[in-house]
Amino acid sequence: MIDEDIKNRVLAVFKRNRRVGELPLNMDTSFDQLEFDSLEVFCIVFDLEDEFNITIPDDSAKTMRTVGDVVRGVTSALPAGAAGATPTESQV
Amino acid sequence: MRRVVITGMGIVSPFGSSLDRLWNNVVSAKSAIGPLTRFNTDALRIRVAGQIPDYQPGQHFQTKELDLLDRFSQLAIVAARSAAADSGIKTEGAEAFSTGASVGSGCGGAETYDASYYQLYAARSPRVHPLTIPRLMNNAATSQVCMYLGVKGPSLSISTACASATHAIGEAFRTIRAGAAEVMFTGGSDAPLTLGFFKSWEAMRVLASGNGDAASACRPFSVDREGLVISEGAAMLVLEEYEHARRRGARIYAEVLGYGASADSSHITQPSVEGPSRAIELALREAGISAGQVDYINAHGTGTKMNDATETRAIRQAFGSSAGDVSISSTKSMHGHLMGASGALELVITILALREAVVPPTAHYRGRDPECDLDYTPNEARSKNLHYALSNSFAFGGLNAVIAVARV
Repeated sequence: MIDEDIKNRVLAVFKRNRRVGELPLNMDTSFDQLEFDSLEVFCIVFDLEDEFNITIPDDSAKTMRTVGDVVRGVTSALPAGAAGATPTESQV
Repeated sequence: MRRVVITGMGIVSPFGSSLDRLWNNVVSAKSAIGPLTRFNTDALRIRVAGQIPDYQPGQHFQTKELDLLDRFSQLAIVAARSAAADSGIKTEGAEAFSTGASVGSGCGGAETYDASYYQLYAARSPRVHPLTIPRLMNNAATSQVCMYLGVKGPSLSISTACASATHAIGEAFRTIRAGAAEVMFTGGSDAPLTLGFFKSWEAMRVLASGNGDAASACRPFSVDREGLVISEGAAMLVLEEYEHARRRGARIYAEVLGYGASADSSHITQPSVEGPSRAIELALREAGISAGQVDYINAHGTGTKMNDATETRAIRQAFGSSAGDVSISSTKSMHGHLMGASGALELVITILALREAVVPPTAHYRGRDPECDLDYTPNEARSKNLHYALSNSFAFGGLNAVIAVARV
């Protein structure tokens, strides 16, 4: 079950921080389509850790291939029931 | 024997990025040293530096590119691009494999180190940016120069503190002379203007205070000198095998004749006389010239009590009875100490001096020190027919490098 709020925040970080421009982003969009190399994947993971104030484990980060993988990775790193967790400073 | 010539030069310096502007300022004894404004200096006693006046990263790189580039890599790339344009060299097809890069840096990604430690220790962030390592590694500048200029030949990074660029240029010279490359992009880059770096230098008590007048803070060889001034910048040169340069009709600035390198093997900060003297002698020997033929020495001349007196004795030892005849200057009096890049900027100035037949001055010279008793070209440039010149760089740690060049 995907929390729409988490998904939208993840997509917003993609658009804001990784400068994916006008590319259509959805849960199936792959890093290959975005032309992300491994460094860029780790950068987006870093940005999301900051955004949600979480730590995404190495084994989760290393197996992400799509935007959906990222949303699920963020969701599972959040404390249970934390959907829509407190906004970080960057959002205020 | 393969001859090695210089066909291009590019700079990003405290005097800006134009060779003409650099030269006009240097021959007029102008100073690029001023108040340090890059960051909050409340915690510092010393607040003078040589800052690049006109550098905007966004004019040279897209935001996404800047994610990967510490300032020292940016400056190296911009200087290398200028040197390539100045030289007219094209690194395409098979040429890429016979073109290398040799870049010196004493400090590597100093700004990235400082920012990431701030995040960890002060901001208490649980993580640092994933690109921290590729930005700060000492070879980043060389690797980025290779990628941005399409260089695929023998390439290396050299880190010998204040002698980094001179060693890098010397090794580039050897690489071409040995037949391992036809063209080398070589020089140095350092961007060390960070709070952590300044505090560390402050603690060594070798920085000039600049109290009263920042512009004249650095006074090499002068009796009232009080230390060095830290600067930032990059200078890159195109070294090229002579026939290669001639075939493509390149303009030749000067010829590199010799390179001398030595280690004091005595003390981690106090320079010896013997080490620098031997580096000078080795450069002269490889150049096939005598000390008496040298018209100009661009001295290491940091402006510290210790360096300038020891360098004077080293020149006396290497030059013997002709020591009094050679024109010497420390242009650090005007552009400050660019750390690992200083030898490259000073070689650029030396080459312009050969071309213009003018000895640049040692600015802010206020009186003779009995321990510094040679001709340092005080305060005013001097017209002089120049054929052979040396550029000296002597590092903390006692690693010495000297390049001998000739007008062509």
